[in-house]
Amino acid sequence: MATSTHVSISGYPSHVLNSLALAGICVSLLVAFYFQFVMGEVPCPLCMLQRIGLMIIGFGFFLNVRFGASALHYSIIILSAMVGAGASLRQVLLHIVPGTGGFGSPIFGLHMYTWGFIAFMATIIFVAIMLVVDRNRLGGQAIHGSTWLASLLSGVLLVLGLGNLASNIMVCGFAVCSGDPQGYILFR
Amino acid sequence: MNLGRQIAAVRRSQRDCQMIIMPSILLTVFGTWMAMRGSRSVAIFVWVLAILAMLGAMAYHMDDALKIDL
Repeated sequence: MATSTHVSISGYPSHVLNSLALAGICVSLLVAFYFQFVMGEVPCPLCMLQRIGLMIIGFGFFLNVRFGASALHYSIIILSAMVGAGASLRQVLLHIVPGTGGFGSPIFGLHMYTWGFIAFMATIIFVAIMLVVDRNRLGGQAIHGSTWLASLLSGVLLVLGLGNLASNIMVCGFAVCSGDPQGYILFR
Repeated sequence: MNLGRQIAAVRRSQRDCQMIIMPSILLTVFGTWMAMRGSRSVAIFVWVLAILAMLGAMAYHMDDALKIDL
């Protein structure tokens, strides 16, 4: 009954909203790659940790898209967002003293780690709203197959994860990452 | 930049093989892969490992004192 499952699950606002959130996470990671490879900004360890925070949030949204919304999946997203927010808040505090400058170039007046903190907080607010939207079906639906949307978004998330893995090896190799990396270890 | 120098650079970094951030990325990718394959329980277990690895990396990279007075 894969067809009926596809139709009924796709009809849920929850499915669409979780998919949109997952797409937003993928776009955020793509923007980070744009700044890394097009603008030439090498990510610092805290930047990488924030990217991982985004990835594990995306993982939580993907669980909702793939297996149906559940309280467990939403708690995964909230905990991931809190950990990611910890990394971004730390970086904000590193540069909050006047005269200490920032890391990377600003986007619309704010540095990427500040946008990261806003994104993590927005995720928690979004999940709070989704818990209301899904209040009557938080047990998870029995989906026995992946919808095309889930397959597409998970594929993008997986590729972005592999991209971040390759990026991490290029910047740090197999050693501890430098606090202020000046370039790629492979190209020194 | 020839391939030999690139391999040598990676090997130099392997000597003090302390991958702090990489395990959490690897585990996240593996968890996503497991979820794609339909193994929900395994994926969630891998997420727990990933977030623990990430917390370990944060403890390592966020231990210097901040120049602010809270």
